[in-house]
Amino acid sequence: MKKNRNCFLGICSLLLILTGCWDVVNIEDRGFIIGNSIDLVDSANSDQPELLVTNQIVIGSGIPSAANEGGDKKAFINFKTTGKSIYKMEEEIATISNNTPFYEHLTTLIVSEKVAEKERLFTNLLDTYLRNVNLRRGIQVVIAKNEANKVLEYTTPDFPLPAMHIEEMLERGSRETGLLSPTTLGDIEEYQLNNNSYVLPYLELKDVLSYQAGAVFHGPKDKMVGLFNMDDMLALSLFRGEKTTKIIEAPFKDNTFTLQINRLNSTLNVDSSDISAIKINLTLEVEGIIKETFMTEDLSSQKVVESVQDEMSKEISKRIKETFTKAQKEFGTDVFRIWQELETKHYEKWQKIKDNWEEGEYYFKDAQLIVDVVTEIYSIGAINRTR
Amino acid sequence: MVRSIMNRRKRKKNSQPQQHKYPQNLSKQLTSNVNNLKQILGEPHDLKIRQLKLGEGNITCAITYIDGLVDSKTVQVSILANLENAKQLPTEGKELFQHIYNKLLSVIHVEKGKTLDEITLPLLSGSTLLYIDGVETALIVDTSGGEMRSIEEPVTETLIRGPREGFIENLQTNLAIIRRHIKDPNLRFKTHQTGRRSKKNLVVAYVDGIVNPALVKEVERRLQSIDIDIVLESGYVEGWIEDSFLSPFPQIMNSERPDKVVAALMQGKVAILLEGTPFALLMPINFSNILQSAEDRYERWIIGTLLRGLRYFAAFLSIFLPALYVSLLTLQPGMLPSMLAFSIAASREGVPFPPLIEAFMMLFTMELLQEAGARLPQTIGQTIGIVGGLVIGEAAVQAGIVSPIMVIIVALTAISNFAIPAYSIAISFRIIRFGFLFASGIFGLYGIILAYIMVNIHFVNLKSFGVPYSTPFAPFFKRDFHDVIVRSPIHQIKDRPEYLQPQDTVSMDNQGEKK
Repeated sequence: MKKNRNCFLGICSLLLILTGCWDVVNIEDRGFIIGNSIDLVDSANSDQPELLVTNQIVIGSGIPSAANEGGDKKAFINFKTTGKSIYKMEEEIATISNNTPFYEHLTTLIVSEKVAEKERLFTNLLDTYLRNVNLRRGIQVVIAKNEANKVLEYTTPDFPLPAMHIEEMLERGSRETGLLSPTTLGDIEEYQLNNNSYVLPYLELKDVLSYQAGAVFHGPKDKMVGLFNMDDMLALSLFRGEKTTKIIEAPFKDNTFTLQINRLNSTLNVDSSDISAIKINLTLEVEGIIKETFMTEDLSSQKVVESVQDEMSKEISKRIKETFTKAQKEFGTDVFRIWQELETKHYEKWQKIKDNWEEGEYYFKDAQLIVDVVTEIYSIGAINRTR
Repeated sequence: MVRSIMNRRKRKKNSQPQQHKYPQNLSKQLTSNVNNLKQILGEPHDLKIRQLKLGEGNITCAITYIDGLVDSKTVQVSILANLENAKQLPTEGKELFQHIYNKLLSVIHVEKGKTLDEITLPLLSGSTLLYIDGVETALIVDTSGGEMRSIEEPVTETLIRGPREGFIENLQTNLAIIRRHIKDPNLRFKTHQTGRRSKKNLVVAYVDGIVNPALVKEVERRLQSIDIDIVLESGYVEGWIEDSFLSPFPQIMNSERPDKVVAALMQGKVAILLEGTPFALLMPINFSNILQSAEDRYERWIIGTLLRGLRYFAAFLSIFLPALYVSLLTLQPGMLPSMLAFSIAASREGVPFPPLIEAFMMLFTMELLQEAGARLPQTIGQTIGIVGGLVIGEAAVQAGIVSPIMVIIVALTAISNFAIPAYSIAISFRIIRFGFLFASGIFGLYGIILAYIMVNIHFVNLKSFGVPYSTPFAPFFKRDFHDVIVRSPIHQIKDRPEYLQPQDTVSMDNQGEKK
């Protein structure tokens, strides 16, 4: 009896060890997938188009480090699979790679422009990524011009891993310019659930990989509708009052000067008394430093500074209006998030118009924008004039 | 099963040998007395007997002592010389005895012994016996002395700042050192004798008026229960009186630093000093006591606080680091920063063992090295360091048996372990570490949490002389926290630890102001 009990306990404890141990995969046996790209192969069947998914797997020994020169070895392999279901394709990776695919370090998802432009397809693709618990919500999503898988092959000497390079580039870029903050999978889900329009970073691979634009997504239509260039992005950022350092140049009497915006305060007021012509009042208070001039005027004079400030205000309001018109008339997307103001401050009106804001009756299209900019030059820099 | 243990215990009790007792009275004949003594001790050659004739009556007397245990100078000058130079001695035995007892011995402590039993123990502790022919009583003259080690800096607990004295093997000296620190008449030394055969003196020290009397009572009760034939070291006492002998955590602290003992006495703790060992025992203790060093109070409070924080961190690393390494490499690699994960993966390429085996091998080697180094003479000990550090660490990496990161982990773990001030707790951390390692090998971080919960359950259940081991965290004593993780400035530590329930709760009666 006692012997049996001991035996039983022994077997039970073995089970305990076994259940834990069969999940063990040593770190060197894992294939760290750091980047994914999705391209469209065949769009003949519009319901279920065929896709090309590229998985970038790290080869650790190829990464140059102090101990390991790296040599001619590549730091990554791109595995390409085609098919209709993303998840099925990911499973296929396991059959061609000698390592267990591991998605927890996936940092970037690059989606081809062509995929994004197809209605509903982009959302459906993201569903796979959001549904799978092994994938993180912090994955950065970018749109690429033409073929997305080419972007995953772009390396620089100091960044041997393309996916990490893109992540780093987006982070550094947004910090420096104050524009195009990286958008994660979690953010996009939030936009999609709210049926909002949003802007994603847009990459272009020519000689170098650059990102000079934003891809505008139309919320209700659920597809990419166009591009915002950098000026549009700047205007969008100013409109939203995002508190990051920005550089803006403005003309002044045949010359130009550059202002670095250090402080920005934007106040949005919406007058919704007439829903067919909603009035949007934007007040911007801008404070900045003159970084660069091609002028000969004496900046130490109050008058000159005041006229420079006026010019700047005009320039800013002009740019915002241009971009607003572009978004309103060309794309019909409220990327300025005026709906948010309506929802929080004019809730009853919003309930009436919310289904007809960016579609149907299109109340957004008839909205009028009034921009009021006050610029203050905080410092003209260390010198007055060079000559 | 319980019954079989009971039976075994009964059998043991029956087979207990009878103690040697000699309640026999001394005889009047000197020669028979001396012969009896010789017979009891088995005629050892270190038993010295000097017979001499005293006075006009030519009365034979004998001086006996054990060579090496006595201070021979005292015997010669204060006993022998006095006897030989004495004039006008009484001629009758009894009168002579009284005369010698009252006048002739220039030694402070003299007693009379009537039975063999009464005289053998003092003789074996270093007293000199004086027999006089025709008298049934012997004089026991305290002449204990002999060779002993001088006071040196304690080797196991060195400090940068602090007294350079340590306890030695001589009990009287140790007590004197404590007295020099506390000139309070309330300082109590209660002497017990331990060991059926060793009959060693054991002193329970405490400060009356501070200490909780119940604690002293409990300590003495446990001491009285000691029933072994020999008590070699204070570890024997510790093992006998500690609360839980199965626990990996020490429930009694040992120290060879008098200042540490004095500090504990002033807090309301009890110390036990044993003859023949420099290690004093301190009780009751809790976990936070063990991670404190005497130096915390000697350096300025900011340094003391920061160093204490460092030690807590070292304790954490010492227990959890290898386990974290294993779980992050096998089950939770998603929790590592991406670039670190890739470089670890690259460095482990070609390593034939899974992380668990690798970590176990390296930790085991580390334990071997530590054990080998501790037992070797210092000159060879250095070789061990070179062999261990260079050959095993470097060569194992080069041979591709272990990854370089593993070597870093093992080194960091070992260093963290050395940063813990008490050797006794450092050992228990070494034991627990392996438990956590295997738990993490099976279930990863989840396993670490499970193992931690198990250790924690034991930890909060553990008591040291009735005082919970996890105080002042649980049970929580708010006022004790000024000297747990943060070492407050000296003038802010007004209260003695509340968990000790001292009689005198404040160490600063006038809030630091002179009356």
